[in-house]
Amino acid sequence: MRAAADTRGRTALIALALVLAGLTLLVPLVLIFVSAFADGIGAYFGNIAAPDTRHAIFLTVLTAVIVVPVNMVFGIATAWAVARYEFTGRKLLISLIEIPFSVSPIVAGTIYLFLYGQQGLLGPTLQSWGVQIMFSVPAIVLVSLFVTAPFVARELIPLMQAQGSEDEEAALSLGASPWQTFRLVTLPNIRWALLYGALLTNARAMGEFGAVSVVSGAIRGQTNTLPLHIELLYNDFNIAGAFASASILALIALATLGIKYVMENRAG
Amino acid sequence: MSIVIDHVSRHFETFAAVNDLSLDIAEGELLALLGPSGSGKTTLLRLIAGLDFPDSGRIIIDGRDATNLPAGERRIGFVFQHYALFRHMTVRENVDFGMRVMPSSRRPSRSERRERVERLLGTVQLAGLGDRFPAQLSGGQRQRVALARALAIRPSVLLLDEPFGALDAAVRRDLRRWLRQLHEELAVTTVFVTHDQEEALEVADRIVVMNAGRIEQSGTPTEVEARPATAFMHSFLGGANRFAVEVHGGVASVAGQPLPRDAVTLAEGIGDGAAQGFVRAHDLLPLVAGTPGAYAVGRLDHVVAHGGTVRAEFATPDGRSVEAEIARDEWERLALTRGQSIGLGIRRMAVFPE
Repeated sequence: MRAAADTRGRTALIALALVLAGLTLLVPLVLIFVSAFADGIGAYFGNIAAPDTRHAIFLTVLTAVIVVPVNMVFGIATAWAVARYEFTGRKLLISLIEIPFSVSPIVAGTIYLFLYGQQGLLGPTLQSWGVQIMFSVPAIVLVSLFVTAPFVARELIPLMQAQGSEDEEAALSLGASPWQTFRLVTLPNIRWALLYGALLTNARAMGEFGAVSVVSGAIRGQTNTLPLHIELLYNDFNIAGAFASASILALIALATLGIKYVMENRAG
Repeated sequence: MSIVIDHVSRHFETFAAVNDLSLDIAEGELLALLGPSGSGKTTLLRLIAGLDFPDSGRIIIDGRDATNLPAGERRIGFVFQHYALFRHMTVRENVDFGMRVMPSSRRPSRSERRERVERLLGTVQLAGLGDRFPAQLSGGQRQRVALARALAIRPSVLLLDEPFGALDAAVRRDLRRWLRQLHEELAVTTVFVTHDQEEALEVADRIVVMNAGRIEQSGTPTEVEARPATAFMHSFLGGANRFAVEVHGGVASVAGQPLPRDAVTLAEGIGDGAAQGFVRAHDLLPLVAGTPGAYAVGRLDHVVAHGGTVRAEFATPDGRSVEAEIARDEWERLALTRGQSIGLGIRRMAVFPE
């Protein structure tokens, strides 16, 4: 009796989870592609080949290409400092790293607007030097850096703390220079976590909407990233175009999941 | 090569891990740094290796002041407690590492490196396992890879941190004997840290016992074992029973009964008054009923036979436990059963101030 009830309960729970996952996750994903191809394959590629769309893809990739390496370096440096050294302000630094996660991206964008905008703190000074940050590519890169700053560091800190510094000390005692030690010992020890953090950084940098929408100005063909471009197309009632662009982001997300799955198996 | 440690101190915040310590280590010596955890022995080892640096004092290696020399320039082979093998490299690559990172002017040729690696793997009895990864080896094998890796740079000094700490008892015994043999073959100055006195007594030429960042006693295993010099040494070496003692005019009494002068070693400069006396297990004598000379009474609690000797634990009326070690045939003559009480005599006692 009891066992039968348990089995029934389990089946019901699994069914509920599957139905919910299907409704909330799978159906929208399928719908993206259905809508993107609604006017046929030719129209789909025509939409993607539109100059504004191509520029949006270019700008999104450019942002990721800058943001990912910069935040990998930042992440390694921060994790190294936090995991290897005891210093005053260490706890504060750990909390600071988390700020981009706890702050709404809109707020992040607004902060940058207040800092670099025309009425902002640094904006007028920069403007007098001829440097325009707001509503241009540098602004997009800056806020993307901000919102993705924690990913690599958060992957590396627990790993480096768990691994300790004995391996590095061993390398140093064997005569390796600090750079050799980093390249031959530290980096291989953290490579999977580092790549995993980079992958998450990339996914977020390409998909970020809120913060970027505040600072970019969304000028078509100039400061429009893919997520912003999707919204513009949608507001123009170009539904097929919007979904065609959305399908690119969805594909990137699926690829990210796939790579993540492979890497978790390798790292684990 | 010889190492001179000259008034070295190392503080962590307010805690003195190594406190104004001086020690000379002779060329070719096999030295054990023995002490309880927190006594500063690992810190001292790391200071010698250049993995940490003293706040004051000097460290001279082979006549050269090495106090501020980084680890890589000291030609020291360091074997870490948990081996610190590079997990993404094979055994062969691990052993080769020290040669691989040498500047090209000093780096041996490829063929020489390969040959040296194979020879070392033979020395540590791991020939044929060169392509394995550390995760595929047993604890004892990893330990020997770590040793081979340290030896590959032809170190002038070999330092080992708790080399047998993480191994099971049988492997540990084999490795100890093997480390002694290896030291005899290579004749490289070797310092190892241990908290296990048996290990130190068995392996080392000389034992330096540390306590609270200082040297408590130093000497050959026989000296240290036969003549513990301080109260700490008596309690640390184990098997010592502590008695409350009253000293008066150079005579020590236990429970109001004076001990014969020739049975007592008084610490230098000890005055009259309360003191502590240490009686080692083999100096505590269970006495046949009716024999005079008992200083305490004990109720037999527990007996362990070990080879030709017997260790017996007695509970004293004040609730303490004392331990006696006597020859097995003598023990059988006493014919004691558990719970039976017996008088305890004292053959020899060392007395220190409270």
